[in-house]
Amino acid sequence: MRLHRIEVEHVRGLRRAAVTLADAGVTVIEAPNEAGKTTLLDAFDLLLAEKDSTKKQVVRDLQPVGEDVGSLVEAELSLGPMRLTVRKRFNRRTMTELTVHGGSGQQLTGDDAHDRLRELLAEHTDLTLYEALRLRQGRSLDSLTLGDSATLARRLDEIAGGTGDGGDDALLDRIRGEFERYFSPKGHPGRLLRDADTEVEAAQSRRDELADTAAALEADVDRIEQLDREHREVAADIDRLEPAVAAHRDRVERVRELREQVATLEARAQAADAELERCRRDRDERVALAASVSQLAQGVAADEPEVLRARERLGEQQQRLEALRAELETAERRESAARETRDAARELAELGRRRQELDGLQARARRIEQALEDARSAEAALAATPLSDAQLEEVRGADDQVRLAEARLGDAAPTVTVHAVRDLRIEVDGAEHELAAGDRLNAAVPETWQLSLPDHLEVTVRAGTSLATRQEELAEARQRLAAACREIGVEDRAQADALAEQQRLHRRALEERDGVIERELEGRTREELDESIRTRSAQLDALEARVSARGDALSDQLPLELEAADDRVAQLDTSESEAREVADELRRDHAALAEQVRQLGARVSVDETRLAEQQRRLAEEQARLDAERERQDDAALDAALDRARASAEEAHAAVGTARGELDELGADEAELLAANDEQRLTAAQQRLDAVRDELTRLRVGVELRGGEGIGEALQAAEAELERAQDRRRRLRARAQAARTLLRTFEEARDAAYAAYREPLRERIVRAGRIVFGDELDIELDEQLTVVARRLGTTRLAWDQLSAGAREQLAILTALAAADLAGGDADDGVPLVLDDTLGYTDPERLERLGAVLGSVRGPQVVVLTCVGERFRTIGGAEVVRLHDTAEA
Amino acid sequence: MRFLHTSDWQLGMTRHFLAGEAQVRFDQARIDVIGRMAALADERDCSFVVVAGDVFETNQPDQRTVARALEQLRRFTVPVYLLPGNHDPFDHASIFATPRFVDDCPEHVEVLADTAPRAPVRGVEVVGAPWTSKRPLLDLVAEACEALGPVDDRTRHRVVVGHGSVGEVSGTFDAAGAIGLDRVERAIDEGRVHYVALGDRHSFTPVGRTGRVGFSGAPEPTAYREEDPGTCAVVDLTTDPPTVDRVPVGAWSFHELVQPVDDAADLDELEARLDAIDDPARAIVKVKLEGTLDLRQLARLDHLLEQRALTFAAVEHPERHRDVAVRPSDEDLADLPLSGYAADARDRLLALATGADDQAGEAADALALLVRLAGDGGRR
Repeated sequence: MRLHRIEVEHVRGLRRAAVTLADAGVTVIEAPNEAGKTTLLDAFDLLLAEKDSTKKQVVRDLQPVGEDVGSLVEAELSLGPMRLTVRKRFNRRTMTELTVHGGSGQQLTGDDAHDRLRELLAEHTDLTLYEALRLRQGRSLDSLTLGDSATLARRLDEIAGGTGDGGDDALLDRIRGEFERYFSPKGHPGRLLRDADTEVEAAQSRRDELADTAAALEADVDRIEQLDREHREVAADIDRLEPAVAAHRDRVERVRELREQVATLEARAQAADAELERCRRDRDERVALAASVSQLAQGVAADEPEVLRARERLGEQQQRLEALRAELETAERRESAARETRDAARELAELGRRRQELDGLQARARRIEQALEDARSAEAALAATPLSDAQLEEVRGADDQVRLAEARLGDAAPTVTVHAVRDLRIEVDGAEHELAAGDRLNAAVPETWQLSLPDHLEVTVRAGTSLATRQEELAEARQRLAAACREIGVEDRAQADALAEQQRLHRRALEERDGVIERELEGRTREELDESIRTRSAQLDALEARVSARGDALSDQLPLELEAADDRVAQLDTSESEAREVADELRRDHAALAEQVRQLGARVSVDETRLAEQQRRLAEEQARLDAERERQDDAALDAALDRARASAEEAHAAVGTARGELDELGADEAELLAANDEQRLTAAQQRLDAVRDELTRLRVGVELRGGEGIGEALQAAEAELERAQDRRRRLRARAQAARTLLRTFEEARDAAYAAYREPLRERIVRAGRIVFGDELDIELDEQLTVVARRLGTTRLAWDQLSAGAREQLAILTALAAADLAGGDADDGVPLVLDDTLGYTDPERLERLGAVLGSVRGPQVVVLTCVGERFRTIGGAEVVRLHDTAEA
Repeated sequence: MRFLHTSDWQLGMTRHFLAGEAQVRFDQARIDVIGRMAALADERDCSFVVVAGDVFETNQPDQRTVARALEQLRRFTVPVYLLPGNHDPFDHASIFATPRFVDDCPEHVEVLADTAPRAPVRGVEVVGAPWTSKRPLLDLVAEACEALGPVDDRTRHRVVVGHGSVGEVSGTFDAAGAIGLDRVERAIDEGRVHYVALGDRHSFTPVGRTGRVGFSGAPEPTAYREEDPGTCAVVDLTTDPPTVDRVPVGAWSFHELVQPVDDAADLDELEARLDAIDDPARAIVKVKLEGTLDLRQLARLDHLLEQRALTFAAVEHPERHRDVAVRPSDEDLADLPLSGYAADARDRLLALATGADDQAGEAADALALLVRLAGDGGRR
């Protein structure tokens, strides 16, 4: 379609307006806002689409506000090879006129005109594409959807090598329709296929059910036949068995009778056997007894001389033994004497040793006793006259003072010397003195000194007065000494010293006591020592008593030197040993002989006992034999035996005969067969009953089911199954054909699409590179919609692009589509840019202008209120729209 | 002295290739033919009728089948003897022993359930050799013949009625219940038997050298491979040998057409052969095709078979898919003026359809479908 001219009258705000467009390339219709640019194009659209009589609001809206006038729209356009003028008035005084120019020409009015116009449009114009290529302000920001355009598709198809008849999609729809008769859109089996499956399953199940029933019925019929046969066979068995069983019973009865007979005969034979056995035993016993007597007599006769000889030998041996015993006794007496002598000597020696030992022990005990006694005396002494060192020192000190005082006094005091002319006894100061002739006694006279010659004279010497002090001192000293001495119970210092010495000795004795005891005890206790002494003393006493009692020569030798005693013991040991050896030898000989005699004696005793026993038994047996023979003699015994034997043989023969008869009758077999046949008969009768029961049951069942027409129904079900399978087979083949066809078509279409989109993409890119640069590329989807732009490696989806870029790409796409669809051919459609490029910057605008300016084939109509925007389009025809009515 | 010999009525038989009303008509035809035979028996003055086995297809037929059969049997005016055959043996489930048969059985109809002689008319003895199980262990007919003594003075004609295959005719000698012809003919030679009326074989067939043994054939055909079905026999015992008249009584027919299909001429011939078949409503056809057709020819073949399926009782072509190869021709392509990807798809299918691949059949079907859809689209 090409649009040459549009005129309107009374359309919205336009009273009258007309524009003429360039046949190809860009026509810019320029007018201020609200001047009616869009109205013009809208009116053109309604001219093509609507009947003049329509009451649609969009048409009513054409009427100018407040004016009740018809709106006239007229256009001159080319459709394919035809050029035509269309004229319609809407709303008032409606009319339609169509004039086809050129050729045979045509002029139509009214609906005919409208219908013809629609026909021509349908035939020559892709209205879908026309609508798609009307880019209005705002809408130009959407990505163009060109996939619905048949023209474009045809062109792309042509380029891709197709015929461009546009029938493929319709065919594909039909194929898909066919496919969807059998499958869901996703390819699952649809109702037809499922129904076919269900139908087959149902038929199969019906058939199987009937087949099972029929098979069961047939099995029952077979079973009945089999049971019938069995019934006959079992009945025949029973018929055969019954007489056989009767015959067996008779035979068994006869067997029983014979058995009783045999039992009686056997009892009789048994009795005969017992009698025979008894007779045989009697006879055997008699023979045995006689033999025994004879044997015993023989034994006794043989043993008697033997026993006698043995006894003689024993007597001899006993005499020898007696002689040996006498000899032994002599030797033993000697041995005993030697031993006694030696033992006595030993005892004496022992007695000496014991006595010595006891003496030693007693000495120890005495020493201990002495030490203890000494110690006790010392203790007593010490206790009686206690004397401390201080007391002693006091005595000694006092004595020293006395001696000093005496010395001092002596120096002053007269001295007296008494010189004895003969032996005499005198007393000085009361003390007696024995003086030998020539002895002298010197004495100082402290105060007074008295000498008495008893019965003859008394001389008293008195010291002078100068001596008084000295004497007082002395007296004082003596007083002190006396006091000190008194203190310790002595007379004088000498006594005190002696006492001290005595006490020292006592103490030493005390100190020595334990040492003595320990030494003497030698590790024993005192009690042990005493015990030891007591024991040994007792032993010694006993020993001495024994020795004394013996009163032999030796005991006179007591006490005896130990050494001599030991030597004598040694000598006597030798003598004793010699005597013992002699005796030992004789003892051994005697013992050996005694043993021989004992054994011989025992043997003789045994032999004699045995012989006696034999003789006793012989006597007994002989007595028994005699008694037996007295009761019944041997000949009678033999005769009884012969009789018993004959009787037993006879009884056995009778048993044999009866048994023979029984064997002949086959007793065991008869019973066995009878039992077996009876069992068989019972089993057969039971089986017959069972068969009869089962037959009845089966017959009833077969009769019931047989009347149900199963056979024919099964055939019908089988036929139905086969038909259902066949129908399904055919249906599946058809479904498979549809699936194969659809799949093949879709695969081919998908492959074709890639090639098919290419020319459009290539045109958009070629033009777009002028605007966006050499790196531009775009992506188209199946609907030929731009979904993304690439610049080098940067890919931006449509929605991510700026408004300007989207608008520019939309225009470029529309341009490419217009070029592809129409080019310079008759069936192209105009591209209308209605107030677009508001978002485009000047540089891009200029480049886009260059692209638009290069358009040659397609018709491009630009509606704008901003003329400057499109000044960049070289070669564009510019039309200013104005209301000619106003003009 | 004539009698009507028939057999193998197979009442209650179902054929899978007969759907819906065709099966009903088929059933009815085999009931109707009994009536025609009743009329024939009257017409030819038959003294009695023997049905030599397989009166029923099964021992458990539908009640209606039994009722209808008994109804038709009433139309006979002479004694009718029914012999149990291998399909309806006189076993414990025998239809002939069921109350619904026994109670409604007309008086002149008797089942030959044993070998006891029957005397339908004076001077004639009818002896049956019934099947009593599906697997007889004996040659029933020969045993029956051999059990018979010499005929007495009063009996001029003795007819044995039997059922089973004859090895000399069928080629198999070991089938269950097979009849030993030599034993039968020996009885005939000895004058103990005068005619042996057989059933089992559905084609009218005289058997052996005596002219006294024969199959009557089934009165209505039941399968494709029957040589001469749709008959019964009227036997005249007064001639020596008896005169056996083959009488066609069947209305239905089975046809097995073997047809090469490689070009339009073959399809023409097939069409002509189908058109030549009389009474197609009662004709059952199995078409065995072999050859290679292009898409249009295939479409024509399918159309032809579909059309005939409407007029014939049944048209079977079970192996069409396997035995008819598809090789699209230039003309086919001319009929499919596709462009773009459609042409591409068509070419892919063509390549598959003409290949040796397993998918060839599917591809051919898909192409045929394409022809139809593209054609439909064009017409629309």
